[in-house]
Amino acid sequence: MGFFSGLLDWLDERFPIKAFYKKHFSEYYVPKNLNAMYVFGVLAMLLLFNQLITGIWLAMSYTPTAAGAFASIQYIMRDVPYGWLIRYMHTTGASALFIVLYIHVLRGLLYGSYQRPRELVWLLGMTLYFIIMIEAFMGYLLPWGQMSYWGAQVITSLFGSIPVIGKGLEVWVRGDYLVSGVTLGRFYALHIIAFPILMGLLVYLHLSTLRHVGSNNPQGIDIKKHVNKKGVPLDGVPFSPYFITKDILAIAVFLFLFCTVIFFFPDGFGFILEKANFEPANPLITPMHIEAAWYFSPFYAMLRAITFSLFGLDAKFLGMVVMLSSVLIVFFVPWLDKSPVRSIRYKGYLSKCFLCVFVVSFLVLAVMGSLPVGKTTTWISQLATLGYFSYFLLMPWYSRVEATKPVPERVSL
Amino acid sequence: MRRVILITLFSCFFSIVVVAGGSDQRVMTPDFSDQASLQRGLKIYSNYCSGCHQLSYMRYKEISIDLGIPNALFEENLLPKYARMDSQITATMASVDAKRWFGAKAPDLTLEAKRRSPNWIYHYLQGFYQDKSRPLGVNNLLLENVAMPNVLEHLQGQRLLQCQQDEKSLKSGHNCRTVAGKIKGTVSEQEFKQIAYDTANFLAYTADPSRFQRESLGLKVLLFIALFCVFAYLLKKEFWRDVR
Repeated sequence: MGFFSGLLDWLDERFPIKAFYKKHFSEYYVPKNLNAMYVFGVLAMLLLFNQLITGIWLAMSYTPTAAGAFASIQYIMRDVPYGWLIRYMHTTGASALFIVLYIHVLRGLLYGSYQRPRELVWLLGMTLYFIIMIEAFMGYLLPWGQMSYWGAQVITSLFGSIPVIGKGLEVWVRGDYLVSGVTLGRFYALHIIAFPILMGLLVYLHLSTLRHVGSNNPQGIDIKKHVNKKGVPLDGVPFSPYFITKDILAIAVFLFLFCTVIFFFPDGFGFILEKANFEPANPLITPMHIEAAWYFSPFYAMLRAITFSLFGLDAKFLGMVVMLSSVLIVFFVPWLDKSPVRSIRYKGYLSKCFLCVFVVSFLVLAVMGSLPVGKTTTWISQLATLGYFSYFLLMPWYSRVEATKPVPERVSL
Repeated sequence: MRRVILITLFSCFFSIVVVAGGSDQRVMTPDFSDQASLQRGLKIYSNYCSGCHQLSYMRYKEISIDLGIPNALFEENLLPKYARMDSQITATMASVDAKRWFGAKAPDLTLEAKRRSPNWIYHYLQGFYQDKSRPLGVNNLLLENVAMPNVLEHLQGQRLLQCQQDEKSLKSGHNCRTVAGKIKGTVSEQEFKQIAYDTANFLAYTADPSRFQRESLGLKVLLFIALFCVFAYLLKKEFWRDVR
């Protein structure tokens, strides 16, 4: 014991680990009424870590060339010891990360976690989400299957729809006139080096801003208003051990589900690993239906929902603008919400309705994006796109006019 | 406690799903535990498919281990003279020849069961019928104008196309089926179904060889996590007891 406490003191004189532990663990007070919706942040972090570690091991055996990429994945799956496990952890991890992130964002919308003083936490989180989307899109090309290839072809072709500069930009992004080994090489470099570094930085910023302002809670009550003589919030409990033990339980339950998929349903019924991706990329044969990975499906549906030209602008360009806006508009929620209360529990009838419309629209778009294009799917997608945007664009109106319920002074379990 | 019970039920449910399966004749479900079937599938592949179709992501050695065929026996009877046990399985037909003879390269079959499905292969092998308009005299119900000859014809016998013209079956798209022709095969209809099943089962295995290891490891991992969940739950409950 003497040796370790001596070592700790030695370290603490040079680097303030004791103060760090106090500030972020033993004396960091978290509202005691956080519910199960609050575990998805730590799960997202776990999954990002999983992607990083399995990604490093995949990179050891992967060949980033058009001729070798597909075969090298099969080499990992068959010849590398436990290569299949590493790869399934990475592919299942990507899908799981998006599920977790969607619930994490929904939690924020439900309890008004974006409101003052947490605007910066929200902005950094959304930036992180946007970067993860690009990261996932680039990673999807690397197996060099048919759907990888044609998915990348369709999405990079969107740059070509931008007026005037489009065609040049498209070639610049791809590094070639069509998606090729050159594109694969740059996507690989960005996927394994540039974006992970960016993501690491943003995770740090997202967490440190959160730690500065503290967690919101399901009732949206500010726990710092009621403190004891030492300045400790009366409705808070220290992060360690209370939320450490809670998070460990959440991680355990999550791992059970995660491992069930990895070991028994690694293809995810064609949603995690698409059938078309078991065929090597062939630039000469376009698949009948090009579909996005399921986690991009809602956005892909919005892209396809715009079938008309407007103001002399191409439908494809407008579709891209709508798709991009659908992500960017979420950034502005802290300023769109004019409600005096945070949590949905005390908001009015209108807020609840519009949140439902938003969630249903998002799910409907997800289904529509995975179906082949048709008349019916197109008009349903258009309707759902309207539903999606109405939640955000009408928020300044409905959040101001509706009657809210009184918020209690103190939290209840 | 309710959560613990739920988790236990959940794991039981999944293990039942995993164990279930069998050789239903309409929808083919692969059965990796049926080693004899996999070995018969390998035999069909070696005798009828391997001339043209490669299994380039598979190695001979891996098959010999997974299918329980002794190394020496495999080397003597199943290994081509030009290959070694750790070679990848290549076809003898050059792709240049394939293009000249059949108009297309014979696809690699390693991942065919994942790209389509084991059930598709099962029905495809039974789907050939006589068609004079095609260069090789045969066509297929599942893959129209297929370039592949019906290599199993002498086993199955000739099949003829029979289509119904009533509206109901036309609408469903399943209005055609094959019936036995004049020239009979060397095996019965039931035996041929088994041959198609074994081949599809074997190709399901080549598409997913890690499944052997995966599922047995998976059960241990899930059991461990389930146990861990119980302790994590008790720990959390203990710490949170004084929070009101």
